[in-house]
Amino acid sequence: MKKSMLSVLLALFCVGHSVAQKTPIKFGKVTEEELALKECSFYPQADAMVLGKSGRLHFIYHQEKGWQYELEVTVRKKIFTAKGKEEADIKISYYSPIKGSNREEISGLKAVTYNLVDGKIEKVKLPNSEEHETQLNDFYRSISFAMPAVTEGSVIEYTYTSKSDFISNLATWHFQSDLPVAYSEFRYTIPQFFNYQISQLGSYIEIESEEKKVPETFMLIWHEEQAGIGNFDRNKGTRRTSELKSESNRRYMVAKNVLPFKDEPFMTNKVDVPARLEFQLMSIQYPNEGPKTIAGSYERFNNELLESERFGFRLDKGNFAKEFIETLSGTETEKAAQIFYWLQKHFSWNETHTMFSDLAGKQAFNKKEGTVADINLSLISAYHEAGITAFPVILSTRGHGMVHPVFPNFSEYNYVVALVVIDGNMFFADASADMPFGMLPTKCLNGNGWLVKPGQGQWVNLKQGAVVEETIFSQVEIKEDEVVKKVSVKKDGYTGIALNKSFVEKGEDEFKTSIKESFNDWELAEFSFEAIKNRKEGQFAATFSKELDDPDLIYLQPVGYGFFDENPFQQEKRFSQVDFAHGYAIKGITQITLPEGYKAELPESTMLKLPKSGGTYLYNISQVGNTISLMVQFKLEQKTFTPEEYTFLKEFFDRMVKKNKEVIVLKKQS
Amino acid sequence: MKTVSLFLLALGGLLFSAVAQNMPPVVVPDSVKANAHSVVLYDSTHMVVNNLQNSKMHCYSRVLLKNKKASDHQEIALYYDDFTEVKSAEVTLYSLLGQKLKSYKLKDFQDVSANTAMATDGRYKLLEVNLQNYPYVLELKYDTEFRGSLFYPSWRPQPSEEQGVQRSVYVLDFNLPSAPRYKAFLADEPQVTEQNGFTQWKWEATNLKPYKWEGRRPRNYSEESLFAPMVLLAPTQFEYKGRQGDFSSWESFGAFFHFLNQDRNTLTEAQLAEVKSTIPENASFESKVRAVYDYMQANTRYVSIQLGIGGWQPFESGYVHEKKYGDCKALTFYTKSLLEALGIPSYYTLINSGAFAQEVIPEFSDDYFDHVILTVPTETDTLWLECTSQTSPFGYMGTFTSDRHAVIIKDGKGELIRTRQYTAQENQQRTTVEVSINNNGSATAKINRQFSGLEVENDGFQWLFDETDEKKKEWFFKNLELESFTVDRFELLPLTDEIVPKGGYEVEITMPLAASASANRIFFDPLKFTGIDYLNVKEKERSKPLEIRYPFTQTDSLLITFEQGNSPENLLKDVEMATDFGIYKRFTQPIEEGKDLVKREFVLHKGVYSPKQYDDFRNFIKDVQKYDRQKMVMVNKS
Repeated sequence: MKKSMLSVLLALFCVGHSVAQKTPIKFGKVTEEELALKECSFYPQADAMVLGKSGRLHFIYHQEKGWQYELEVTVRKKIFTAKGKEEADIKISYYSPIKGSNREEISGLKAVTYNLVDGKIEKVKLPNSEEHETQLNDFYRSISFAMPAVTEGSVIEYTYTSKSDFISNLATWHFQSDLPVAYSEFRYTIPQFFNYQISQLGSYIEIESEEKKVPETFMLIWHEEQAGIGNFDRNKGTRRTSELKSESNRRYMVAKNVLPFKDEPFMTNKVDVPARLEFQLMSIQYPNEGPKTIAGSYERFNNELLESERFGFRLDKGNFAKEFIETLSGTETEKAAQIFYWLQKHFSWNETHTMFSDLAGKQAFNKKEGTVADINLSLISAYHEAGITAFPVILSTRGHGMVHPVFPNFSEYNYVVALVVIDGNMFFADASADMPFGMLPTKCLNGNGWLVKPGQGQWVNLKQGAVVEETIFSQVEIKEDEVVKKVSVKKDGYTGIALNKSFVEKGEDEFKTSIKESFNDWELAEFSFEAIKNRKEGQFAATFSKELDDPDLIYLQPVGYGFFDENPFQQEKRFSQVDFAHGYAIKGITQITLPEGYKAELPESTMLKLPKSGGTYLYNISQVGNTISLMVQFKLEQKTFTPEEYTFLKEFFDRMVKKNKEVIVLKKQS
Repeated sequence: MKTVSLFLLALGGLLFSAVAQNMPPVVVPDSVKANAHSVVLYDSTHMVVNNLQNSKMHCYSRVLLKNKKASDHQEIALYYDDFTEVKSAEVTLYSLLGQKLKSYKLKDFQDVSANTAMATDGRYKLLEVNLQNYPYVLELKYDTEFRGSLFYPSWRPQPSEEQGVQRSVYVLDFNLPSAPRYKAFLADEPQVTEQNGFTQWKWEATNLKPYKWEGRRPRNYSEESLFAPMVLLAPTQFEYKGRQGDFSSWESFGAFFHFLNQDRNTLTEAQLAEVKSTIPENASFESKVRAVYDYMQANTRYVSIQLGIGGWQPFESGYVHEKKYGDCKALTFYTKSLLEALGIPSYYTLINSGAFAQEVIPEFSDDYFDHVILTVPTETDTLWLECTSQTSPFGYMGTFTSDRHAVIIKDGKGELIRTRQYTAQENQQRTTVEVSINNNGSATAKINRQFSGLEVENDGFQWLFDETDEKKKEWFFKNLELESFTVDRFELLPLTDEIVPKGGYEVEITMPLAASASANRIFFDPLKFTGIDYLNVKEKERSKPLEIRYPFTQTDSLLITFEQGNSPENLLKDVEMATDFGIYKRFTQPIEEGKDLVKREFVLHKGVYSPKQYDDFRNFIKDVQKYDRQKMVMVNKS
């Protein structure tokens, strides 16, 4: 279950139970009870569990590098089954780039396997020679090791210290993992000068916490001329040393018996699920100095973006577009679309997601290729040059996580698109993607985006107007020994684009075959594909036929292509939200002409509704003379469903699918 | 020759302005270019084996990338380890007019670990070219040096489908006491020249037309099933990391591995005593082997560590015993050492793993292998033991290692053998269903399904036993090909621990949508429980043979009960087909009013079918799929 981040956040600071300070997770203190344990008490099916995980974070001041933090981690796991043994293969990855001086380091690794042999605890240490260090790529290193002598029942334990130069975002602490966790404790001690935004995110779990002040003293080397101390511009001026005293904030947090998080189908943002603690540095304030803000509200975030050389500064570099703009004619909207298509064609996207650009403008234009930001910030510049109102909208793509609604964090955003505003109408534009003007690629349809605007930014719903519209006309005629069905299909929006793309990629023959396959058991007689109008709409028409086994008794399923014939929701229960990228509006109109002398048994007309007008389904059938008319309509307006709403959604789909499969029976009257 | 190129026409008036060009404009014959996503304009591999201790390879290629589907060429990964060094690499992109667009040097490559293992020396120099403005030409140049003479790249001038090849050249120079060996398919004999003590072999291919991939081709190397020329090369005498070997026969191939494994059995008496204590005295031969295998399964785990010569050599068996882990080599050698202590001989066995693993060429000995298992001769038969799985039934090979060639190391030499084949008779899926259908289309069903032989691998059934109840239940949701249902009860029938394992499940489910009901009729497709829709016969024709490698038998028996008052309007007609490819039978037997028994049998034979036979094969499969989809119709008279 996932609550809104804000409410979880508030909950965190209300839960203030006193917790025992004495940690049960101390390296080397493995007990006989732990070794004798047969199963996880709160999740008995587990192959392995985390008995305890402990993290202690504190700050140090390095004479050369300045502020750093250290995190001592100890993990103790219990192996129950043969399959659980794979939990004894450990890999610790950390940021250690080949270039640049800021990095993370791992030291003090110790690891021991404990077994109960003839009632006695036997320890097997991991020798240093079995720690394998690897530079994974230009940025990350890893230490991996296989715990020795692991059997069913073993307890394994390892500890290490990670030291980091990156104090603006401290290491995220995961209380939850894919194993059950009996005890997870995290203790941080943060000097009074640093103000962090600390957010408890992901699945809701209860955390006990206790806070107190502890005195700390740091030996600083600093430089006289400089106004501040710390990591920022430390190296100017005369070198001085001094002692810095801090009434540091220590918080001790414990989560007990945390269930493993589940991997579910249709879960868009998996990274959002595990319960965890994240830190972001908001401001720094040294004694006798004013606060220096590091991060903060969306208001500040908005302004920082606008002032950034790699963002706001890039929005008025449109001089490359002058000549093209002079050639434009038509309405504002037509002009906006022409600029969009011009740049979409001009640029090729280098498959990099980012919202910052060093090149947007003439430089990027001359390069003809670039990142999402290179292309779309150039696009916005061109709009500004043409006097068309357009703003950047930053967002996080599907799978990259939802953005924090209150506390902005640059790393949560990985994409930027343009929003064009003409006479109150809004058009999204992403020239890095192969999409028509006004539509975002599906990967961008993820919650809200932040519209960056001088004065005040605001949230915009990225799924606004994201819909799939399809109309399927069918004319069915019963002939002597066959049924002939003429179908014409029109698709608009995301499936229209998909249809057009599929036609271009597959070529006519293969495309025809793929259409035929979606009309199982029908023979294809005639086929035509409508020329592509605006890439959003796709159309095809086809004639099918089917031989009749028994012309006196005919079964005919009138609903088919375009409608769900299977319920995608099979699980009884759901733990994470269902996230549709877009809504649906699908309409099927069918006319069946009967020859003389047939009597028809029709399915009943029906209407289904989801609560709160989230969606509707209509099945309306009637017969007048020799003509049967059917109108089927499926509309889905609500795009995300909570686990509580899941039951309704599943039921709705069940009934709809059932109705879609109902059959008309035609009997020849003798 | 018809070599009019669109690209050349496009050049038109630009000829004068293109002064700074550093590659001639691209001209490709239509026959090579049509239906291609990429065209290899020129590819050359030049391998020089200087002596047993050193060889060098120079590769140069120019590939025309026509569109996004050629994007595979944009990722360049050059492997290296402590035996292989990438000396230089250079990538340059050109427009079709020959203008240089972009270039990369070795320092622009990422250096990444080939890290799927816990630990490995293997690394890649990796470059991803991002230019999406097709078409353009990608030129790649690199030099690699090998410390030894073991490695000979094979020549595959046309490795990808929908790729044309203008010219591809392979040159091998060697100065060795004994010549390496080659095996050529769809290629001529090499041109041979001699100079300065070096012998040169040269192959060349020009103007290869693109082909379209066809799946399920036989996995043996043969001219019938290959799309394009191929030359395999293998060493005779060689040196690898200071060790000498000779792959010219299976005997000597095995001798090399025998040599690597020598003196690796370091089990102490104390360690052996631990194992021996678990084996009952006077146990039969087979129960001793079984006890050792069980011990190994219970006391070790698979961990992939490939370091140094260890990529080829197992850990010492004493080390495995102490650490309780190892890779396939280590765990196999450990099991072999344990059996040895009991006086039971067994053979370390090199094999190529996977359901669709490529076959070896029996008369062309070389290292084709990626896996190691253990062969244990018994009085009457042979046992094969998979030592990397903690759950695999005793002696079961599965589609992972059954029915293929392997090399056993016996008496210090290698010997080519063939592993066990599982027959259609052994590979069974038997399904018994009792289903009661209500007038609203809902139903309850009891499904009993039993697998034997390779069929235990269906949908990963074999691996379910390690899983939690929740995961097992999820498995039913995923793999029972049915509409919405709830599981009322399920029970797994345990997998038997034998060479032809048996297992199965019994599940009771409620389905709100089992049948479609309208007005007073019920439409029910009874064979939804089985079906072979996964056998895809979409391609209308083939140019290459088709292989059914693993035969099987499906039998189904469904007892279907409708509510009172229903009588059949349309029952399934009886069907019986027997073809070269398999057998299909379906019978309906009315038991009483509203109760019918449907029986089905489907056998798919093992076989290789020529392109000419494909049409018949396809029709047979399509017929079966059609019959399996047919519905029975009941009408309610009440």
